[in-house]
Amino acid sequence: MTEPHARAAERADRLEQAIDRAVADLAQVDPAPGLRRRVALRLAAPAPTRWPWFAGYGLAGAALAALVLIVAMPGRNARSEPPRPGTASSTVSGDAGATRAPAGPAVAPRPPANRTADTTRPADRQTVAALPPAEVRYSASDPVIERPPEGVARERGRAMLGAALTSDAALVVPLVVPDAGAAGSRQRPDVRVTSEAPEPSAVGVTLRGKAREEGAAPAPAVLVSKPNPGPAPQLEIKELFVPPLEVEPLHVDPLAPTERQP
Amino acid sequence: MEPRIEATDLDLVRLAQAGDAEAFGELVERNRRVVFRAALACVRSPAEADDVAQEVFVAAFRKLAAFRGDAQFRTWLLAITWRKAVDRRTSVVRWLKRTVSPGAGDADDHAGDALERVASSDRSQEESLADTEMQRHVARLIATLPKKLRDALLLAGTGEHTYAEIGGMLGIPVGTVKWRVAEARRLLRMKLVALGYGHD
Repeated sequence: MTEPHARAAERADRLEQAIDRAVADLAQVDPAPGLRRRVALRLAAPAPTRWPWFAGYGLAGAALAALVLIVAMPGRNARSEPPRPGTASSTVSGDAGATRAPAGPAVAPRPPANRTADTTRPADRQTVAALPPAEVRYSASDPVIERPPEGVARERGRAMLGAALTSDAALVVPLVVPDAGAAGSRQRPDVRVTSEAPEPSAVGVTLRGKAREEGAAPAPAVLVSKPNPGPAPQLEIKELFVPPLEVEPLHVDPLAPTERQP
Repeated sequence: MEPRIEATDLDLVRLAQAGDAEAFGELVERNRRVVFRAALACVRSPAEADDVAQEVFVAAFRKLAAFRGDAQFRTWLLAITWRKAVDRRTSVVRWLKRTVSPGAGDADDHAGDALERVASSDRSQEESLADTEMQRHVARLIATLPKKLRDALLLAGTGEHTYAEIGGMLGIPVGTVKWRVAEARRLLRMKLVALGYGHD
């Protein structure tokens, strides 16, 4: 082999060796120690949750459906629901008119008595329905009725009901006796209204009533609905029950004139 | 645990399929280097290759029940490896295109062009370059090779894979693998000569 050829072969070998070394440097690298442990750690870790590709569309659809439902909700009150058998109870809070402190001597305890009051007064601020008269009967065992303090005897009861009246609905209405005088008390007797609604509707009801002493004319108790865009509720009040009301004896001034409310 | 030297890969696979975690650990130990190097040939970053290798073994463990033993476990594993590595390379190149050189074409080509410019400016210094420096140039030139040629060249350069395995990974015949390796080397030589390394 001539010298030029030998030098050319040497150059070619040099290039080949450089390529081999470069390739080896790039490719013949060993993994860092601990690969097995790292793999084990990955396997021990909980697998990431993979949502299917349509999950995003599902979420968007659900959000849209919820939005549509929310928008459609106001119209729900206008729809009447089919009659449901059974009794539903609901307790709502309310307030009552102020109790005036008795100025005269305390009234002697009265025997138990049942009362029936026609509720003929129509709603004065509601728009939809003036309900038929309600029979109001006080419990015979009601100590308030049996021995009503002077102030409580004239108590004006008023409560706001905001509950769905269904067939044979029994509504428990807290009736607040806000102020029985300086020595009086604030109590929340429950007023139970049992009603039948041939076409039950979701209505709000205002209870207006007045308790009077034994022998007085029955006080009207009116149940009226709140403004309701739906059909007028046909509520027939079967019973209005005032359970025992514990009222502390009122401190009365015997010299003060008795003041009674009409 | 003592290494199960006498057990074949298929034996270990059967044990692992039956719930033997140690058997799968042994499979990882046996194949970690070949998987890592295959991944490295694709992603060209040891850190990325290590991450790919972990992914490969995790995926293999989860798919182990589907392995029926029709092919060698190593071949099956290398197929997973190459798929994962290419996915990783694709995502990395996409990321580079977005962040490093937005608007550029192939990130590899872009890097290659830059390299060519640097190399051309260095031609006058060829005589003073040592072999190590030439080797560094070769490494850079390898990066400028077309992906198909580079993959074949680096996979063959790992010393871990037969041409048949490489063909299986790349989905090409063995003859094509050989041609790509030879072509890659030819291009490298040509570029080195163009840079002046082939002259006295």
